[in-house]
Amino acid sequence: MRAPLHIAPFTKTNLAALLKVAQSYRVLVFLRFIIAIVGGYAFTSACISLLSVLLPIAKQDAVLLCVSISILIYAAVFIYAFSVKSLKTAWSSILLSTGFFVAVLALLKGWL
Amino acid sequence: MKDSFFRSMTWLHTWVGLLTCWIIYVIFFAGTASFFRDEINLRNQPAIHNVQAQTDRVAAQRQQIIKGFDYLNQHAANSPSWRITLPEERIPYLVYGYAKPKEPGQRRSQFVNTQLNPNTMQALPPFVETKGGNFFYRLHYQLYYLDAITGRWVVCFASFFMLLAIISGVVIHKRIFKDMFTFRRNKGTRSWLDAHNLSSVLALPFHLMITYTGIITLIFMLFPYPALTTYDKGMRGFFNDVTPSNNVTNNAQGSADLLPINTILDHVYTKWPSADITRVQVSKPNMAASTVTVLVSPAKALRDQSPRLLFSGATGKLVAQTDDELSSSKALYESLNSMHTGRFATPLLRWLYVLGGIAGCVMIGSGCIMWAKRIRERNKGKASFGLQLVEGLNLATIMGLPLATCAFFIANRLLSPTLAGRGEKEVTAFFLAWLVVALMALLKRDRLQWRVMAAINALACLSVPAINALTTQGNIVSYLLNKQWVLFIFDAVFLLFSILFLVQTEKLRTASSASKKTANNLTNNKKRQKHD
Repeated sequence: MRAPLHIAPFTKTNLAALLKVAQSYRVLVFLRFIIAIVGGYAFTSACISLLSVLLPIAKQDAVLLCVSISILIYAAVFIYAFSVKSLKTAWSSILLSTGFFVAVLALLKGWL
Repeated sequence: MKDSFFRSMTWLHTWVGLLTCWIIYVIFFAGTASFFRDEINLRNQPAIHNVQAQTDRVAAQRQQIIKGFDYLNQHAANSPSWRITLPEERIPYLVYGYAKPKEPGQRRSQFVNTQLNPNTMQALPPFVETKGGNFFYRLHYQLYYLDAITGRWVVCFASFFMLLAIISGVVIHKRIFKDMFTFRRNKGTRSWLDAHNLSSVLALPFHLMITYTGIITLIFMLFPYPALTTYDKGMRGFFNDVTPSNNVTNNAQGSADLLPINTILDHVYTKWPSADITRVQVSKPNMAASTVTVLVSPAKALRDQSPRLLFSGATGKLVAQTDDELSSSKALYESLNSMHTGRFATPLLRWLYVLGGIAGCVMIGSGCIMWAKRIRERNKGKASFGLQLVEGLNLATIMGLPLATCAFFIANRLLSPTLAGRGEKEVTAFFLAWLVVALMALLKRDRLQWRVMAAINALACLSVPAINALTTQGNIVSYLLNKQWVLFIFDAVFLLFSILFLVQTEKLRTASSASKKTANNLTNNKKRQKHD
């Protein structure tokens, strides 16, 4: 059993213990699932939204094509999130690219 | 995540599979049954058992529609809408229906339906209320006792996890070709692994296709964003663009007689000479703003949305229609959808779909049993809470669903035909039977319990055709003699499953005595308990 950390006041030693817990296997797996499920979802949404705006075909065709391939993209990102060795790389790469897509989309649509 | 891609994928396969296997099993089971939705509807509705298939089904359609308009004009000239549903290859009867005016608080208006035998044009005996195949259909994509949208999200993510399990399963599989021919019997977990591999590899294209296309059927719920960013009016704007016939607004005021339907049908047959019409809908009949929609079967085309023509009822002018030629994106999307529903399938292909579905059930079932067996072997008989939970869910799902299905079909025959809310009670029987199995799984999950459940299932499967014979006029022999193939095959399938469950009962008996023997031998060397 671990000591209930959240009750203890913050000290240097406590912080070290907290970090140790954060490194524990379960937390790492949980973080991996979060970036795969939520991050993958956000990445896919941003990616296909941008693609549907950029594609030089009729609007309805662009939408239909993009949703048809959406699951392929989502699955690829999910597997990427689990195959990358470092959790930090997984988080940063997925979040940064999602942010990039959203930024381009916002510029194109004039949301800013 | 692990040292190598291979090990990461092994880990992912195990955990993604284990987390969702039971819900996916339910989805596969119900989906497989849904390929026989019309057949189950027929079986559950004794009033249509003796309706012969028409020999000139398509040729008779024009007369049926004209008679329908006469009938509806007489009985419901001022109804908000009419619907004529014509017989199809797998649906033998004809329906004339009209909507009652909407009561306050109702989302959809209630329909009054008259069902007819298309051969004699006489009204059929009153229908009993039954959920029929529609129960399995809805269970398949939105579960039950859950808000429909929540259910769909659950199904969506479970399917997505299934897709990941399939992809990672392919990655970790080293000898895909060899495994197609490998099955080692009576080798404990090795046999379970072989069964898992065999059922996965043999039907791999089916598993991939059905899982991917399954998610596509719900894709606008999962990913509405492309439509939302591309269209200013959002989803509505998108759908109006895709199906222009949804967007017809006719603001003409006052009443106006409907044009004779014959004129409109002439238009339809000029455009599609061999049209197989499935439905004719009229909104606001006998008003100036009335519209008549004629839907035809897409036949063998990979198209999920029925081609349709929409006319003004007062002037007979063609107002809107579906695309004759689909653009390539639309064709892609439509074919993904129609491959999932398989409505185009001929009987042989339909059976292949079903066999694929059964292979999927075997794949999922053997996967989750194998996990439990391996952990139990590794722990030398000591069972953690997690292992007990998995074993309990395995027993409850794999043995519970067949029993629940039998209870559903038995309830359909035993419940009084006039009972109010009868359809809902069939479903209650389904879930009650399942609950009983789950409770039994809570008590014990050993080999004996599996054997007891197999015996109960054998008995239940046998009683479905037996109770049918006692409560209706037909039975499996008369179905064979009268060439009522759907009903005959339905009963025969239950007899087959009864035999399979008997075999399972017998297997579990010999296996349990065999494992006892080995265990006894082992105890001579070291005190070890039998592992099952």
